[in-house]
Amino acid sequence: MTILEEGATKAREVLAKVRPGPLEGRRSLPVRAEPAAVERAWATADGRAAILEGIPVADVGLDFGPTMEGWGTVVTVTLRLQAAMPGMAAQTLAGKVVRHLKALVETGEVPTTANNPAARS
Amino acid sequence: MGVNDLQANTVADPILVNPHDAILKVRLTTTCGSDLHLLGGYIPTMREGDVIGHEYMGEVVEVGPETTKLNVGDRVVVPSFLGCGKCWYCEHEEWSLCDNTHPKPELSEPILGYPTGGIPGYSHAFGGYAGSHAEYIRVPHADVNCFHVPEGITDEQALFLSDAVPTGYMGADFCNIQPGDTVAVWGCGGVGLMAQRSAQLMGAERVIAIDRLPERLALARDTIGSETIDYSGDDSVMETLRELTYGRGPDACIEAVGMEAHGTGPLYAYDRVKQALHLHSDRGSALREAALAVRKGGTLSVVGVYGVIDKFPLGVLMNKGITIRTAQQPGQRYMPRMLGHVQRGELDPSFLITHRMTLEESPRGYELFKNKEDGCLRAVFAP
Repeated sequence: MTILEEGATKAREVLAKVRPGPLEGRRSLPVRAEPAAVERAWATADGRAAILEGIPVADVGLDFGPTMEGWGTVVTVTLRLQAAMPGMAAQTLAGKVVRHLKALVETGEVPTTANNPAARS
Repeated sequence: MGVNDLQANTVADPILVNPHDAILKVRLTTTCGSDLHLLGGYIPTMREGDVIGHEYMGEVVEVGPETTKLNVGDRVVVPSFLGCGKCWYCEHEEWSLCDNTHPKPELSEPILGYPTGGIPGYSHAFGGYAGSHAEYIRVPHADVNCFHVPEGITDEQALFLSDAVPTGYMGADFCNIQPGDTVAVWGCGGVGLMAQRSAQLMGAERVIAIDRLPERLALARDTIGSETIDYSGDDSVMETLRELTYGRGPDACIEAVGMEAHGTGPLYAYDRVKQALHLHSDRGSALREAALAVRKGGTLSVVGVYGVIDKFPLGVLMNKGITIRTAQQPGQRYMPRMLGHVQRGELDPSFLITHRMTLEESPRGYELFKNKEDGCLRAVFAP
């Protein structure tokens, strides 16, 4: 066995021992809009599809908290994945969802690299 | 296409994706020192085939349906970090911290805790937008990110208002310069030279520039009017600065070098070996020296780009009561002032251009830029 093969085997063994993270994650951010406006944005099929693109989501819930002066209404996203992923992936992806929902509500669009030119197939 | 493997290839042109986008035909785009950190593999999340480049100006060729301030044919310059103009950070002029322009926050959060604004051509952890070393580029939220270039300002002058000037200008702004102040600037690259000129414009009585390359020190001395220190021929920059400031130290020090600093002492050797082994990403000799040199109660302004550094001199800063300020530049904040300086003839950054090339020649341009050959300060590409 070469050094590279040994290394690959070791890496596979280590990765196999990585404990799956939680299935569900929650993240909050203040959004500069009333809850009704957030609900309306979330209800649009295009907006929701842009926000959830690439995320293996089973279910998503929205909750509203207090209003922070200058920052907006606290919106909490609870994201349930289709299958557990390593580490804090559920939390991180819930963070992406609430951040992109915030972008949609505050600016009317979700930031994206769709159709991004690159020299790769 | 990989670490230190830059190629000129044909890719698809960008298209309008979001309603506030504009497409620019790039007129000029330039190398930046931070590109070298990306190409060298010191900033993670680059992908094979990514288009780099983030300092540029161009002409509007297409606008999205919800843009209101731009017309086809407008000549514009774009600050490298993208803002949305709507979030708390943009409202407070902290454009580079925009909450709403990063497409991939999941890649940024593990590194930074919270994502910055997006920036083209600067790795996926910073958004993954295709960069400006191309014939065309998509600019999101174009109304707030594209600034009209007034008549009388050339493309070459406008180009550097995208990044080098606002980075240097911010670095000087951080110093809260008072009449009679002495400001020392580490680095005589594009950003360092612009920091020196900005410090003068903000009222510094003396500006002292530190570098090792004769042609760059000559620009600092002859074009900007700075006093200069060649650290490669100086036993101790600290002692020289102490002497030049009558034992007091500079009121403010601006570090415009970043994570690939050169040096002459044992700490430089330590940094170089650890960086080569990828045990840390930064060589911090300029930063440490600047922290040591600044006077008690002074300001250390860091505009060089950093990742993870060993031996950060927090004790020096704490015991001397130093204020440290740092950020990625919010060019939108400074653009009206910068354009005013150029229009009044107080600032002409076009002297930074040492090499003019086509995009096809850009790999050679980066080679010259990286190795500082042929006096290369900035290579500029005209697609």
